Amino acid sequence: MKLSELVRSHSYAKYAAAVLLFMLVIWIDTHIGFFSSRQINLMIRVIYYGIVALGFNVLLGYGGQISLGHAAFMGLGAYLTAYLAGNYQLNFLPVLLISGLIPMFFGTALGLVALRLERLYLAIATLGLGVTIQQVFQEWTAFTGGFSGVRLPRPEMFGYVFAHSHHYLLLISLILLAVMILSYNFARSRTGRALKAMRDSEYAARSLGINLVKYKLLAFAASSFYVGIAGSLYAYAERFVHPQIWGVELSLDMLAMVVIGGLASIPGSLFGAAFLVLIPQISRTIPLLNRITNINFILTGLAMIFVIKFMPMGIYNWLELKIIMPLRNREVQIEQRHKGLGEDDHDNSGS
Amino acid sequence: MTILEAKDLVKTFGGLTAVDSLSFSLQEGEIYGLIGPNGAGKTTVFNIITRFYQADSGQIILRNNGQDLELLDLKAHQIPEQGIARTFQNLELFPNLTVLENLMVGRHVNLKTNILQEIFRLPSFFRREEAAENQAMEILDFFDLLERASRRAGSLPYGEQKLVELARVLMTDPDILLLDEPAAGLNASETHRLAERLREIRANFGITLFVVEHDMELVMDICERICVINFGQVVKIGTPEEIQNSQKVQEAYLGGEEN
Repeated sequence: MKLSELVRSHSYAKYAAAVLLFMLVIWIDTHIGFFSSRQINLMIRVIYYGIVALGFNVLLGYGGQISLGHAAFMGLGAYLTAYLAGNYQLNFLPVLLISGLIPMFFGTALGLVALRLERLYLAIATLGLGVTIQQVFQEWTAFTGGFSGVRLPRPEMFGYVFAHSHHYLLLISLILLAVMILSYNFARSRTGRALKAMRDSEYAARSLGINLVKYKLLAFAASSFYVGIAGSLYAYAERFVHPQIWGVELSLDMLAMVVIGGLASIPGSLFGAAFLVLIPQISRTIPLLNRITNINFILTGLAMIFVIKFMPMGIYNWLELKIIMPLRNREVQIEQRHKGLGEDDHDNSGS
Repeated sequence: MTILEAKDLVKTFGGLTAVDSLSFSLQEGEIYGLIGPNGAGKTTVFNIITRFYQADSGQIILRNNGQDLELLDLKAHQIPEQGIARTFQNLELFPNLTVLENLMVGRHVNLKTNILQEIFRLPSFFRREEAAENQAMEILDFFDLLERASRRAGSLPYGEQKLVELARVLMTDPDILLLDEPAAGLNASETHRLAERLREIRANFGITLFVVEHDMELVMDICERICVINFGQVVKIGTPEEIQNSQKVQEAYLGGEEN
């Protein structure tokens, strides 16, 4: 069983450690106030976009399916949250769950389209659906408030109101950790392997008994669930939802996050989300660049081209493969030399 | 005892009749060869049996535990559940998965974990996953691929990739294995080793082998019975000796005199 430990050596213990450490820093910061509220809001944004990227990765990175309409599901999650929290004063957790489940239902319906279409055709069909839903958001004023948008109260859980953005950041960090662990488990199991198999060769997948219909629908359902939840977290963070942002640009940003950060990679998803959130902030501070309108799109596009050309597995996987792994392997080799062990025997379980 | 029987299979592509009222049957536990010149319809037969192609007419009966099952009523992904698995002529590995993951995908049908057990890592998940992994390791050991387990499948040399595909298909616990040109691209010594392994597979796992192959030496070496087809029709069915001595077979391959 040594080899299985080797394969499983990327234990999620390190995700837990990283997130808990981050939470500790934020908790200390609630007392000393080192980070500005703008920085805290950026971190919140990185986290909910991180969940978006994790979800989109289920679809694209693991399942090999594409959608340019997922922004609409994020918007649906956000509006549901605004509606339920505003009109029914529901608690944070049930709202979050419903805001994931209803987009999941719509995502499954979109998956039915995916059964018939591939690649570009699928991208165009999903794009059309996304734009349609965005129109509905603008017109259906009873639910969405139309162009004036909707406001919603602060999140409330078990009678506690998250009035401080530090506290909200701590809360959604925990949610992120839960999502990361579930994604990790999902990717390393029969279902996750079936998705990856479908991505790599549909023929071989079918010949081994994988029902492509089932797993395509599942990829769309799961990714819509994640994205809906992220929409809910967005709504609670901004406490204002308006129809403008749920368009093609956001769907393309989701694609960019996954491609830049790393296909089928959990830390890569967070890298990609951080990249897309921080690029506009950084470019704003650079003297010449900030005069160019739409510089964000240009930089994102350039980054995608650069990543696809030079590190097709994404920034995170590239870093791990070229920088972290060689270092770790050197340690393992040194260790082996000391122990005099063969290659098969070394126990590389880092957890 | 007959385990698989094809009756009057017909498959046309537009005006071309690729398989023309073809009938044959496999006995349980035998190594059965399907040979013929290029374009004779061999791979088409495999694609019909595994339901990648829809036959125009005919029947394929699987006789399992005395029960007859019409395979043409099933969908492609339901075929492995019935104990029939195949390899591909042009190697269909999952190149971005590790060798071990490739084998674990092979276990898909028999690994009974559901998504809740998987995402919450319930004890039943570990038990079943581990059992499957142990089996994968045994099979990798059989193919001398143990130290390749955590390598990306696409990074292996061609000969090893072919073995991984064979190992993966054994993970489905098949009764009948359809091998589409298992020796293609292998050198002489690899082919020789393959022949030994195929015999061992039959002996150890009791699997009926159905082999499409161009390497005549291999076919004559391992097959007990051979079916020669040309233009989608049976030319001759018989033992290797009968096939080698058949005038009709030689004509099919070399082109006989016109009338």
